[in-house]
Amino acid sequence: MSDVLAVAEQRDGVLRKVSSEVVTGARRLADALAVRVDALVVAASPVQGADQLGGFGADKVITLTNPAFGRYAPEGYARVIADRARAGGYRAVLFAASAGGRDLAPRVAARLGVALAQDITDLAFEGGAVTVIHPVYAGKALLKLKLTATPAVVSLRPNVFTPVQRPKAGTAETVPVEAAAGRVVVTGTKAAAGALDVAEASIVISGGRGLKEPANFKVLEALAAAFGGRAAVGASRAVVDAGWRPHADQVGQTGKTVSPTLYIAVGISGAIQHLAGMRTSKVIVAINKDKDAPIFKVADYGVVGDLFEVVPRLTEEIKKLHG
Amino acid sequence: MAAKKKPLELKRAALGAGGLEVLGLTPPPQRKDGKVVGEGPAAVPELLRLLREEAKVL
Repeated sequence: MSDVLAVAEQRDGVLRKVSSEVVTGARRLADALAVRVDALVVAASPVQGADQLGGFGADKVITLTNPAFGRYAPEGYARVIADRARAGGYRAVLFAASAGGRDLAPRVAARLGVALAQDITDLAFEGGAVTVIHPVYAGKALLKLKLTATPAVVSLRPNVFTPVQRPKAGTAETVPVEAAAGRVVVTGTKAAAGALDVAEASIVISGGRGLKEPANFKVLEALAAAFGGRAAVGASRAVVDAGWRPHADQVGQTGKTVSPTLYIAVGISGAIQHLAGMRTSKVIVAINKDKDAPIFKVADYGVVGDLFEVVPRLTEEIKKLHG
Repeated sequence: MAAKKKPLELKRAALGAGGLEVLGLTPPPQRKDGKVVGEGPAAVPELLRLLREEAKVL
């Protein structure tokens, strides 16, 4: 028994996309160790779609249920996950480095009395220990760490571990647990209407000062909509500071770190602090009227031109593509 | 000057075992040089072609 535990994430009883990434990362580690993967869901009642985690490499999906777990309860969640991790004798416990996971992982690690590596972009099993890669100095360097304690507790940067479907299905098991929610409970969350989180979207379209005024962000929103729910709209620090966009949308050193499959920077010059938040994106497209803007140095593809002409044209073509 | 007369007590701090070991620090892989596809809206079809056929992200 020294399997890998992948802690899945649910919101309002629906499994979140990052869960399949965590299970994929867990599977990769488990294959190196030749062990099994257990996926763990903490929820008020059985979560719809939890069994699908089997398709990403979980041998067993365990759902710990308690009516107190309808909403995120830091202490309650941490206690049951740590108890489970201890009881199962796991070699590693993996979380998503999402807002929730980044809060939960340290609590669980502290309860287990082990070290934690947050926001990692790669993991392996080398020389008898779990090793991870953690980007530091605003992404300008990669730190390789060895976790000497057992279990190794880590959180995986969203969108880095591309989910891999497997033909094998796992088994599912629901275990009601005794637990109080704890002293701190989340009584409600308010999200910007229907917006996808920039850190978790597979396509991010960010706007900067080049958009000239807040109302012009509708140009980017139209492009995001053309991608049919896969794209989120981000922003540079300049426009967030100016109050054009909420801070939750800010991409960069003092905002969110994103690594989508496709990042489109519109009217963003590309200050180093902005690059810190998006340089790990798989493909970067820049649209800017200044051909000397630093953003073109990191972009895979650049279009020099007036964004108010280029973006609507792009929106049109994407719409055609998606019919 | 009263502060100077206070006794200074030195204690050894006991560090835990520590569960993390730094193995190395490396620069991130260089992104390959990008290219400017073109100027203005006329470059959009070519951009899409590249995204679809070369980068395969669409």
